[in-house]
Amino acid sequence: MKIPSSAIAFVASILLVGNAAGKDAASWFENPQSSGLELKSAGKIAFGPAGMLLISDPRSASVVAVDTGDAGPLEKLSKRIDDVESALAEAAGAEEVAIVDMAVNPASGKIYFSVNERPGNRPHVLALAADGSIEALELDDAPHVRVTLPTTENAQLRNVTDLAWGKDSVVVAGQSSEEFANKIYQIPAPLTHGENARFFSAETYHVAHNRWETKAPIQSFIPWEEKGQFYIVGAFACTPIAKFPIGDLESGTKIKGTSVVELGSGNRPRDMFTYEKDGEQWLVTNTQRFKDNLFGPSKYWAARVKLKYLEADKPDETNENAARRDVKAPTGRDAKGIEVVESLFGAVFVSQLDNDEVIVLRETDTENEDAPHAVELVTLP
Amino acid sequence: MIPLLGWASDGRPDPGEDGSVRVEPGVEIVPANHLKFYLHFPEPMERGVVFRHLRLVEIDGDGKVVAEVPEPFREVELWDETFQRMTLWFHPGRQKPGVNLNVDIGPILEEGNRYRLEVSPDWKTESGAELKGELAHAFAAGPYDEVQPDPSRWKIEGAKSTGVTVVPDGPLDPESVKKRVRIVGPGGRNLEYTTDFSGKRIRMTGSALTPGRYRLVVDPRLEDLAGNSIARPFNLDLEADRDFEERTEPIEIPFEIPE
Repeated sequence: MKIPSSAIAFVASILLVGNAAGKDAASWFENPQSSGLELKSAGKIAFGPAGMLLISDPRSASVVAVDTGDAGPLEKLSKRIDDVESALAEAAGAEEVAIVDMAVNPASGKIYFSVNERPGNRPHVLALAADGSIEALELDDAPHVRVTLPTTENAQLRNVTDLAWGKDSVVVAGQSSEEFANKIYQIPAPLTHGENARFFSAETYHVAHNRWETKAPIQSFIPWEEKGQFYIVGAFACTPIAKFPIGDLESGTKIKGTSVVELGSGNRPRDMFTYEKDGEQWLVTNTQRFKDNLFGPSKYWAARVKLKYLEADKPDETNENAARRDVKAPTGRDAKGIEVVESLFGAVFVSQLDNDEVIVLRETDTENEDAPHAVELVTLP
Repeated sequence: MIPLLGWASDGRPDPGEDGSVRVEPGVEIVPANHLKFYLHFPEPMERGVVFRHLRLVEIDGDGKVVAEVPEPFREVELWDETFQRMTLWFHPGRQKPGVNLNVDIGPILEEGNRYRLEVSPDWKTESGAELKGELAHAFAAGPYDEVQPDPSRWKIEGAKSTGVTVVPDGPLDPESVKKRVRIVGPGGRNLEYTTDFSGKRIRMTGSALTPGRYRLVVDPRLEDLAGNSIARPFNLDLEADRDFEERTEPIEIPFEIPE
């Protein structure tokens, strides 16, 4: 089977995140600080190249890029970790913690968590090693840069819904607290202190709603390259997947996304990634239903979509004509390449380790939201 | 914009003054397609699982619960930088007439019904303390509002050296008002002031206004309670109205501080 060249380019770019040979994370920084890093809060996290950890700090409306020095070698999680909340709390010296986000470092296999301590909401970043041990990330003397999200149009969108490394830059999706608005920020390397982000306002066609949404916030996204153009592919609540070109645009430009796939209403996307299996390229998004568990044993479920759907650009295959998931055909031939991923039921967070495996933070009791969660390595289908 | 009749008076006590939760807008009637409340807390709150501590119930005239409204919220925690103000969105997909969630599950609010937004006493502050006082906010649903705010219908009610009072053509999003309405003085000078919107009037106080000519400048992104902005209605269908042009220029209302 012929694999689309753009898909190959894209998967290659993802793998680069964990494979920036010859460079350390700080080489992407301009004038990095070597002391005094203190988080005011800890939000979404993601990994850039060579052990670069990106941490959103919503309280200070900024993104911090840290050289963790954790650049390998790769050691995969050796066992399932049950009740990870208790283990994280113990490592943080806290009574309890609430997990905010999880990201695996593809360079080393260590799994990082941003958590809030309870009581007090003190933020921590903790790393789970292959043997199950957990250590707090020492931030005091870590080389880092802090980039403040720009104030645009009399508003600073400090609520970061997702962030990622792509095309030698940090890409951030933020949403307004006060108005129905979102922004996409792009912070190009070298990352420096201060406001140097480009930003875009985005709107898109919501297939499930059958109309153009005004400025609905992007819940999760991945960077994407197609025919030399740089996009982000984002997922929204309810759950259209759309692509936005941000390659050569002036800062402040309003961009219109193209909806290419619809997974169905009543879902909230959480994470996104791509992988290749048996010559087929897939985009995966795990979501949380806010209606009944129609598709399986948990409100947390995931779908995989053949990447070729992302290449749609004609009117008869996009927006109101975008491909829709057939809820009566969860898998198999009739699903037409938009399928439920059985192994990701109950997945609250999913973070990609490599092409074949992901780290999953999973529910252990779908009826009890207070039940502790487990962390495990999952092989993709 | 829905009529102002039936709204709470401007002078009622601030429910947050006793250390309890203050809810904005604190008005008694919101449009049936109301989009969001702002919850103001006396100190930073515990975060991460806040939606288990919030519920919306339909109530009767005596305040008794008729039924819990299922799945009303867009479950994304949106805090300000102090973590004392949370923006609580109703799910836009249910509040937009004709979209699938609205059709499948129904709207969250129905005109003529009464509701109560409740905050659980189990929700602790960041320091582990309990909230005090009233933890509920009752309101009624009025007619759908799909009309954009129109500053040409606003009235400058009092322009004095101590500030300006403006009567808009209907209820506005209180936090959007703070961001999108400003006073420009002689020579194009932006003035420092505090903006307060209590449902009926915008009060702007701060810099002493010397006699002269001023302009109230309104950003077209200003939204009302249903998300309609001056720039565009919230429920705009761009497929049906392809020629729609969003308003982008600010609206200016001149006024004068007399000698």
